[in-house]
Amino acid sequence: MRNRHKNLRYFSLGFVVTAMFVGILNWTVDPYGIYGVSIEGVNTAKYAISNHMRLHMAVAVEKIAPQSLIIGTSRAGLGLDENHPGFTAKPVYNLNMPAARMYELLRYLQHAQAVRPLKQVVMGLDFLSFKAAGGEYVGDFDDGRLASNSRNWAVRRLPDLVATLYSIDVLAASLGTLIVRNDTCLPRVAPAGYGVDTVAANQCKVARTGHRKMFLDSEQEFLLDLYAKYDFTSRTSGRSSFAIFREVLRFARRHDIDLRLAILPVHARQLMVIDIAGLWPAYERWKRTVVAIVAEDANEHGGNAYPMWDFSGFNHVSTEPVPGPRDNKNQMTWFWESSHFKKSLGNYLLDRVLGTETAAPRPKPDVGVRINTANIEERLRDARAGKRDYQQNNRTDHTEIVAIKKDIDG
Amino acid sequence: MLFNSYVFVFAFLPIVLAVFYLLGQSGGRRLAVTWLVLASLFFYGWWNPANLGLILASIFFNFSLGLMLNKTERGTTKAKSILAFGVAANLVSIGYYKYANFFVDNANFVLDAGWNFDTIILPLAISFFTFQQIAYLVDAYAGETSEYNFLHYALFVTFFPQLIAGPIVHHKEMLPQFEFGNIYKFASNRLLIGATIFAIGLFKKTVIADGIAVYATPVFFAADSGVELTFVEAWTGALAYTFQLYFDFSGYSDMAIGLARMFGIRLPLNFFSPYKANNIIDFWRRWHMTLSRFLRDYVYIPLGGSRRGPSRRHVNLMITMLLGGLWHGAGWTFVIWGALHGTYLVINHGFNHVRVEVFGRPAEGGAAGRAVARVVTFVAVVVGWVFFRAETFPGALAVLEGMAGMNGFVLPQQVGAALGPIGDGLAAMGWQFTAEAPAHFYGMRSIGYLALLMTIIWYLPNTYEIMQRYRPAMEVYAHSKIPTIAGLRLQWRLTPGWAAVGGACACIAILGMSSVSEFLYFQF
Repeated sequence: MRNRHKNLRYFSLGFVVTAMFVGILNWTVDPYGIYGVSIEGVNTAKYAISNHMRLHMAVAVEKIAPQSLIIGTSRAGLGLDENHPGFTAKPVYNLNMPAARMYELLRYLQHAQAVRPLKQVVMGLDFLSFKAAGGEYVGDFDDGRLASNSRNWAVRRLPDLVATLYSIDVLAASLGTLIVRNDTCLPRVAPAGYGVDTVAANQCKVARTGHRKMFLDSEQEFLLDLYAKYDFTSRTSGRSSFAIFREVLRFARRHDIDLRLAILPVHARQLMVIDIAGLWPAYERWKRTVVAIVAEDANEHGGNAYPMWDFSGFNHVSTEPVPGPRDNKNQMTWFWESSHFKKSLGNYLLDRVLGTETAAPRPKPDVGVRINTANIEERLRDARAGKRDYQQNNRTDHTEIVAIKKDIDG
Repeated sequence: MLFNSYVFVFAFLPIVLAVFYLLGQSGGRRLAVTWLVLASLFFYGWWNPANLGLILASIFFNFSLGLMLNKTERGTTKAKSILAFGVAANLVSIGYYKYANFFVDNANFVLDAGWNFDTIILPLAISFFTFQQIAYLVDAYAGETSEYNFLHYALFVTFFPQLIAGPIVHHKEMLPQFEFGNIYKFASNRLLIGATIFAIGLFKKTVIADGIAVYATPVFFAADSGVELTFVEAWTGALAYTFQLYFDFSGYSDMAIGLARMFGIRLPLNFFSPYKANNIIDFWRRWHMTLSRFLRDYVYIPLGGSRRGPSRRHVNLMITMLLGGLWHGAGWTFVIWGALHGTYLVINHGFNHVRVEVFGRPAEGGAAGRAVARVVTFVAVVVGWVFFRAETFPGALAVLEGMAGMNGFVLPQQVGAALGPIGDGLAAMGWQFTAEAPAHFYGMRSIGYLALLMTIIWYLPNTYEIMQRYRPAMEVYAHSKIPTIAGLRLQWRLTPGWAAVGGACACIAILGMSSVSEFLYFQF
């Protein structure tokens, strides 16, 4: 009997041995940085992590169990430093997801809180996060993997575990990770770390193409896709991003979290992009509504408002001149491109938000203002004036962005 | 339920196999067949249980008409009327579900009638089970069917391995197999051979076809949206789709054949390295062979075939291919595709005729001649697939313009530098090397991958050659046996080593079924 089925048993053996080999390889190489296996020069250059940040971040929060969070889009990831001395409750984790929407930020905040009660949270506010037209979340987001969704480890982690050990994409990513191991221009995960460092990757881009090309690429992406069909309300759920932001504040109140809000800085050209995309009225409405929601929350809590800073606008930092085409020598001080600021500016931002003085060089104090219902209209007026002036004094920059828009509209 | 889904591979299939053999071993053949019919109906109803009514009605209707035809004398008015009624009813049903929207849309366009007609959802597999049963009715009329048992007939129509995407089986090749007692007894080698063929098919689908689709989809999307494509972009899209379609469809046929084999049933061969064909006639003897057979036996020959002189033959060929095109989908691009292949066939027959006139017999051609013939045939097929894949006629033309070099020959500068003297040569021929890569140029790796697939398609043995020792499928054409390659090294055998290779292949193929969702973001 046994012998009659010999070949069938070998078929099963071939299946099982292959499955074991692939599983062990994927676990060891760990291309999405979720098993915590990182060996310098072997698999620290995890290029494939970039497209799986939501998976990586969900797992990382469970491993690190932070007491403080920086939370936001990739702007927060690239510009804010979790090692900033202003944080008192440690460990601190920089929880950032590319193009993260408000719903995702709320869910990840709840996830972190479910893993370990949070003390301090700096939330980076980004106009893009409030876009809900295409849905309340993007790409690789999955509610199911969050601790706030399920306390049961198996329910939460098993689907990801199976998929990340047993799929052909991951096998390809593992082999790819081993091949590019010495490429220093890729997003990296420090050995034994769960953060993703993309600074070196951006540094390489500057050296390769120069800042101006990076500006143009980013602006094109915003005009073509990210800011296209902008709407604060989701067509699928009918819910507005503002309602979700309100929920963030309620959640922070309920759990006694020291929440600080910051509208993140962008280069003046990004504000031009918003204007040329026809979104300036929406942009103003966004700021007004966010300020109103914070005030409303304060009224319900004895006038004690969550502090909110506005680091956007036209000032000597945001209008930093962009090096010319093909200039890959001159480095900008404050920005990578229109949408992403450097840590130099991020350190100053955290100084202001956390009440420390560590950043050097320091911009003038007009960069970053506490905003509330009392000064918001003045802020918006200033921005309108700043926009006019910038447009007049930086004709080339303005024309360049208009050209991208024209090109897209055909 | 798709063959490439977990629920099929890990739940449905093992349960159906186990119960089938348990029932079969314990002597309950009728029960075993009933079980397979029920399982097949469950498989069919998985998508949309509402369609079960349609397929069941179709089975009862056609089986009853078949019985009546068996009892009616051939050639009588009564027999003719029954046949005409049966065929018409089947055609009306498929016409309603598959072509009504197409017809109304076109009528609205031509007559500006403004008729409003809700979109009809196409019931799954209707083209397949309708055709199989029309063939059955025609044969019942011709007295070529026996008194079949209803359960066996129901299984012939619904048998899940071939229900969704073929092969289009013929009652004469299926029903006698159900009578054969041996299939109800478990045989481990049969299961192993079936599982290996299934694994090869699954691998073709999940690893190769799904992997190459990422190069095809965006190119055709761009073309349909009016984007101009450069030479390399257009060829990348067209070739990627050509390979995707082949690995997808032939992979599905392999899976069907492997699955049936696990139940001891041999299905007819459906693909036999079509891109190795040296002419279009040969191509149609290798591509979707059971459809070609159906069209030949039930459309081309009844139209008169080649019996009424060359010009009538050409008309018959064109009609057959136009219907073949329309069978693939209700759209003008499919009609154009059919017309194109009809024209190819007419040219091919004309060319053969001239060769006979000039040389007295078809010239064999040397190795170089055959190579040229294969490339020409392949390019003709690729051009056809462009119409087949594009959503719109202008989209198809946009891809073809790009392939013809009408929008220029552009590669990124880095590629030019990497190519060295070849790059200089191309530049001298008018190629441009730009700082910004064309949007649908996916790097030299994509070109390497396409070249690798072309090599596999042209130079490696196919599933049936690899499995040739175990008669993996039934020959579709009595006169053309599956050629056996003597001394083929890549030949699967019933040995522990080859069994293990089959298992490894199954494992990798199953890995191809899952993917980790991702978010592509420009910043990286």
